[in-house]
Amino acid sequence: MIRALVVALLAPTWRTLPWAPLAAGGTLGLALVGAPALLPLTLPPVVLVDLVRVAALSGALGAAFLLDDPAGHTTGAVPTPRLLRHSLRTALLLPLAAGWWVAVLAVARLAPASGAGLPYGALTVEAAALTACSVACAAGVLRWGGGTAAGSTAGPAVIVLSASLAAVPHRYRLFVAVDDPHWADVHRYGWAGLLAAAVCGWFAWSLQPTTRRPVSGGFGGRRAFGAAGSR
Amino acid sequence: MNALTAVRETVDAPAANRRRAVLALARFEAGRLLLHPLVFTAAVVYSVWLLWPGGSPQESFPVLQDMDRETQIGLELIGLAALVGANGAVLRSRRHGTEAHFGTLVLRPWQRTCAHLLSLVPLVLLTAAVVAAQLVRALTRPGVVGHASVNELATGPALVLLFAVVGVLLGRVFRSSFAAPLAVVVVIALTFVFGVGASGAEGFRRLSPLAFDEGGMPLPSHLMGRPAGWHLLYLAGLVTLTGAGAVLVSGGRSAAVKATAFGALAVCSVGAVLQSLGPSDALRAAREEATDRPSSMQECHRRGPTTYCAFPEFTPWTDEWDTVVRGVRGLAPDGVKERRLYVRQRVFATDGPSGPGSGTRPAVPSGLHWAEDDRAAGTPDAIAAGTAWGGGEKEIALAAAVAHQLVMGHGPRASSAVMCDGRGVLVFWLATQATEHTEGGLHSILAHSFGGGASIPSPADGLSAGLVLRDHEYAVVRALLDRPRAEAGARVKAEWGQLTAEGVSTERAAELLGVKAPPLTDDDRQWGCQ
Repeated sequence: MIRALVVALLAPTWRTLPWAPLAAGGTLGLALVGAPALLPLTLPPVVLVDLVRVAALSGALGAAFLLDDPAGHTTGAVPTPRLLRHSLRTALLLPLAAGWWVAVLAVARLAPASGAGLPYGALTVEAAALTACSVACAAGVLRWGGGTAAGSTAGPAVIVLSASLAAVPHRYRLFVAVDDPHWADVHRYGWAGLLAAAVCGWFAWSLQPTTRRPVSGGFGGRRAFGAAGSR
Repeated sequence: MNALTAVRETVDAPAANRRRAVLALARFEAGRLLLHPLVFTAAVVYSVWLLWPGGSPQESFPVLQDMDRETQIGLELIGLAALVGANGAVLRSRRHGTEAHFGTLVLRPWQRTCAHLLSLVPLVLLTAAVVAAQLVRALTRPGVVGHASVNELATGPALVLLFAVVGVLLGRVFRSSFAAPLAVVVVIALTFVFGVGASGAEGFRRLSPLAFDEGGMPLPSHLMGRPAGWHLLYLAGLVTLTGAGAVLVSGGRSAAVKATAFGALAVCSVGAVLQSLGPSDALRAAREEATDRPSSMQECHRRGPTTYCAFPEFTPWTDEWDTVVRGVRGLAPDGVKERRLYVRQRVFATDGPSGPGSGTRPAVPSGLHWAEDDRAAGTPDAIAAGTAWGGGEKEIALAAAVAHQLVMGHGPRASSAVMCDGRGVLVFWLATQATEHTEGGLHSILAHSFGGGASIPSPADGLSAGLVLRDHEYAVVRALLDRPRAEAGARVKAEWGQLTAEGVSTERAAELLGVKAPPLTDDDRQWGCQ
């Protein structure tokens, strides 16, 4: 039953993925890491790592729009659970995101700095955690805010999250410099923990709530089409 | 056709009404923008960060020509929040499906764009007030020196305006909310990655809205080479161009708007070219002289047996330095404490647009003509002082240099002097006792240094030699610090002659001071002693 449903939903879900934000975020990320090689511009390794991080943030911003579905109001009433719809979208994104990330790292290698020494594994964990936070945030916005467009809230939220991870006092900072003595620990516990928390958040917020809030309540009620949307 | 469906003949409202409508919309949007969650949060976080008590002790001794550009970075964050907020405001009617209703109102789309642009003014004024408050706070510090540049101070609010206007333009060009976060990423990349880290392309680096010049010690303001005025002109051109672009895109294609856009493009290009020219020859020559032979540019003031020579802007710190020097002198016996000493401020100004920004600099005055210059100016063997002050770390650095001079009779010779005898113990102990902050300063230096031994950096940020002790000597210093200060001070005064004799061993010094020296370890023997 579920299998048939998944097969039936694959093609329409693929078609309705928000291609413009995904493509824009991905292209910007590639352009940023490609800039030092194209200009050419010599960057110290520490800065090159930061550049790859900004590219990861760019991709994560694209992913913040993953769950946006202009037709969300119509699918709220169908028996297909929201978890399945979200899972399908996320599953379709994964191979794309993986391919894109490999391309980002490959382009970063071309930079005139000593790119060969980039900590690929650690940066991949960071990028995965950021992207997961982004999608989880979108799921949370849909769950708690209602409406069909989560990206316009989830995108800035991911930027705020990244800025706070970079600006908090050093003890709690996750964006540490590559030569920081805590680099390994921060990735083993901090980033991996963030990734796990984001996946849990995505799962919890993708579950269909079993009780409905009254239509007039909540801040979804103020939306143009009311709150009877995709809950 | 009846009275209800009749088409009104005057489609355009009178100009005065339209103006009032634009202003009313601008007022409304201004309030919404200030209360936008991101803008509000950014403003609150930034204010809390500014007002947070504590902070580095050097904040009590602000150097205005550095403080002015440090106001910019925080405002850039508010500007990025304003970018997202202004973009959201432009797209709000689309997001809520109310775009069609605006067709019935008196305002055309381009007039609404004008209202959105006007709505940014209160936020910009607010950020300007924040900058003014920062300036006033710095000016009221007792240790303030230097001159602030109006252009640098105005750059922060200009950044906020630029980013917010970009938000409006993006809302008019891309009818989707993903453009604004991506623009934020571009700005972050431009400033924090390319603006900081790119080497080589100076002109390109300056195109970034916020150009950093970090890393070095402050310079006297007449040696600053930051093209702040041209950069502000460049930003003003960008703001006008972006704003005119937003009006053009939303249908306001009048000749005046087009002329404004072309004019702004010209201004922007002029600013971009002029800011990339680099320092003038006269400035380069002045910087070389300030680095190499500073005496001609400095003022000297005498305090008792000590003469302090500093760039005129920094002379208010003379009494601060003198407190430390008198503290060290007070620990020496009569006959030594009156010895003539000279302190001269040092800068390294021959690199980068505004001084030692980008890395390469000699560790020590190799190739500089300091000794010659000092002799000519009548201040032989002057102790180096820096252009940053405040806190125990700076105080102990100066105290150690003074103590070295009193104990050894001359300044450190090598780039980093490892002192492996009893005189090193004495120098360190004198330095820690100079003022109430110096011992804490040593602990804070050691807390963020690594490797064996104990070191005190140069008072002039690497321009003169720092002092290093092996663990063997530092253990004696620590033992001495555990003794009552008066007792240790009395022994130092009594045994000064023997303690400062050439070749006095650490063990002998420990014995004279009434403490025990630990045995020499293999690690200690690894050091290359001076």
